[in-house]
Amino acid sequence: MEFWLFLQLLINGIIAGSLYALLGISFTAIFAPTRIFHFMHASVYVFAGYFLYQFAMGWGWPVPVSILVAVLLAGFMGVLAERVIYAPLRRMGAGSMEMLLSSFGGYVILQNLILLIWKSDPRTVKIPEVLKNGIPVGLLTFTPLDILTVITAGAALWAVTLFMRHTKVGKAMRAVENDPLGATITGIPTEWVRLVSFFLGSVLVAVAVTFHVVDKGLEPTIGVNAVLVATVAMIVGGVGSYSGAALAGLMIGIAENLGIWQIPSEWKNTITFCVLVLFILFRPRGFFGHRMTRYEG
Amino acid sequence: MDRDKSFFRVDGLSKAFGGLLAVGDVSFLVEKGSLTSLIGPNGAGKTTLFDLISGFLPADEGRIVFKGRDLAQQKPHDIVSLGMARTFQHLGLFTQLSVWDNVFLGLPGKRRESLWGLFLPRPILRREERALEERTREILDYLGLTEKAGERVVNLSWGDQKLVSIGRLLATDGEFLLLDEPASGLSDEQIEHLKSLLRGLVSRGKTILLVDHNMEAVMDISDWVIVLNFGKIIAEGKPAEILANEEVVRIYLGV
Amino acid sequence: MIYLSYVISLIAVYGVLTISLNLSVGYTGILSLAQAAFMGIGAYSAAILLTQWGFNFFTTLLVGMAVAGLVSWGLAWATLRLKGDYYVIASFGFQVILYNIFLNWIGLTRGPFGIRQIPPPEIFGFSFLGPQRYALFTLGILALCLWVARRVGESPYGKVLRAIREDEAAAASIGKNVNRYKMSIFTVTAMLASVGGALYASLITYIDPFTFTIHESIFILALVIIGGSGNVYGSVIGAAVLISLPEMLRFFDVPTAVASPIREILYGALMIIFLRLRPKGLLPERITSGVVR
Repeated sequence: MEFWLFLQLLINGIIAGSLYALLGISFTAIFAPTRIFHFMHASVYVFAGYFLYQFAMGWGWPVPVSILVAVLLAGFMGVLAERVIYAPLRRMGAGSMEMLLSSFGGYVILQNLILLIWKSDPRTVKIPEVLKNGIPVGLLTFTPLDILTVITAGAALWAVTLFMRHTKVGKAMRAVENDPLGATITGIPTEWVRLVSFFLGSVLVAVAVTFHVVDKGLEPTIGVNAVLVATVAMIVGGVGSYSGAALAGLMIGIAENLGIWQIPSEWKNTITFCVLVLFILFRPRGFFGHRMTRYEG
Repeated sequence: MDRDKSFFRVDGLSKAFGGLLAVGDVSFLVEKGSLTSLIGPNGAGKTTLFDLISGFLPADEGRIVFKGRDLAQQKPHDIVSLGMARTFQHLGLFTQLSVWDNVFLGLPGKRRESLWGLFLPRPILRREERALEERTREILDYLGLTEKAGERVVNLSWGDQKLVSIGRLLATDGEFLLLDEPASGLSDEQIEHLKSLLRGLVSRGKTILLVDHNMEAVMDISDWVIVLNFGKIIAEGKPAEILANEEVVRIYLGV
Repeated sequence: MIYLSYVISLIAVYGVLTISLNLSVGYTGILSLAQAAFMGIGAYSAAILLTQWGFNFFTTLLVGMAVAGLVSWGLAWATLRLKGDYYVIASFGFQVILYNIFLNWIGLTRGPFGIRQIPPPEIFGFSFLGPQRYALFTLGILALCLWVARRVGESPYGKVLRAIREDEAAAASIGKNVNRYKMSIFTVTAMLASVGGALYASLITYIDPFTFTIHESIFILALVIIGGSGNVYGSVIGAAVLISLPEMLRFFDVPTAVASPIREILYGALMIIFLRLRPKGLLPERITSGVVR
């Protein structure tokens, strides 16, 4: 096909993939150390979007302030989920099935709270027009917002990697990821690590929804898809690998966008999930994950 | 002295988890009709070895041969049908079911247990049932559990639960029995009872391989002892030889 | 009276869906997110065959069950050996894939436009047209479903399922082929779910893909938990309470836009509460002890 068309689709793919990368990293930050399939992540994602809407459009706060507060609130929502929903179950000795089911329950409650408060009409958050003006480069176009998206995703990955490697907390998170029992025995405060991981993951997912909202608008239903993509990116990239999740997210974005050249766009989603299922079946450790060694009966 | 390899043996078995070698190049054999014990400090690899032998873990290297058959890739439930069965340290009893049900479930080859069994005509079911009930009663009698047959396992003492787990094991009709920490959590009196129970089983033709910490109990009843440390066999032989082995004594007392 | 019949039918339909999921989740401990997908298979089989091919309802039931059975067998075979979390993710992925098929295979399902004017079942010329008749019909199917579930639960097969739920390794160690059992009960679950889906299609007379989403799967899961895992009577009671609630709210002039979210919030909250306080749900299991003589 035309070179320029290919390039444009590739660029669109990288932009979309950057958001997916963010989603993948955010989910990894929670799943890798805690092994909880935190379905409520979808609620945090959507709620952050509605916080942003409420602050910026409902109450007229400046957009940057709204974003900051929304992101922080999202972080706290994540922490709240851990303290209110998961921790008590863990103390009771509940298994992952109970955790997951409670996560669903929480998701349903929050989802419907949104419907009650904000109804289901699509919303938008207005940002300076200049950010959305296309910049022509040869035969390609992209907007400053797009560039910001890619840069933010890259920065997030870089920041998370540094955090994991050079801070005490980050290293503690890695330790818990690799050997939960050993970490507890050697005195790492696993409770705190869990809180940090929920906070971090929720903050990152709130950043992701910010880009989604200002670009494409806000609806109550966007949460589930976000969690799905996050899951696919995490698994394909290899659970525990942030760069893997980011790379996988990028690839999914590129594949989806290049794919519309051949595949009708409505099937894009299906392809993504077929890839997920195939990976789970044949290569559960994804690209960069650790070898699965424990056999669970 | 040449020992008989034909019943059960393990050759060059190895298993690593990430960088950690849990079992390294382990080879040993178990003679038919004997009671063999695997001892060693915590973390020596005993449970991993058990899991490897009973099909719950795939080995990285090595062979497991039971009555001439290579057990590699076999699923646990298939291994049971070959005549080898095991218990678990945590017992794994079905706590909401009765003692009777737990033992009964261990019995092999029951058509009634399949989904199609729901459609089998009553007379066929009754015939199967009578033989199974007889066997269950026998086992419960042998272990002294007859009075408690209707009790839910969750209500029993640990000692009784141990007996139920052995009952379930016997129900499988296995000739080669693997016992995982059978003496753990038992009083001295209960351990004595267990020891005679196990020797009794051997005298009835069973072959036993067990793993345990309790050196005294183990030495008293074993025909052969294998000592494991850091995933490798460091000594094996008759109990008297092992007791006289300085390195073994050092490991148990020094560590 | 008409309205009451409608609500009763709806309760019966969800009773069937809940009982079938209970067999996998409650009895055997298999957490499946794909219930709505199998419901959809049954609903679309019925809808397509009834409206476009003039099949008999009972034939469409069989077709739906066959398709659901085959698909679930394949899914189970491929995924049941996965560790807990990964299994759930796979069933999640499967549910989404099926939803997308319902949505996008317009040639087959008419996609977002849905299928209308689905006729009621007929047998030997006797039509179940009319709310009262349909209510009786669905109650009949529900009773049948209850009977099947009880027989499964109280059979030796059912005891093995419970053993698997409690400790898979232990069940394997006494010679039970755990995967075989899980596959068979999962297939039964899927087939009964498709029956529920067909009943749903005939009841509402209009279906579209937007019913058969992950939300629906979660709702049915909640009904299982609230009603009691392992107790099929509880499943029916749970369904009865939660289905009739928004209808009752509507009775008091609460608008649907409010009644629906309230019902959802309630079941979400109940699910969490029941998991915390009474993991066994409303009604605990009744396990009959074995024969002792």
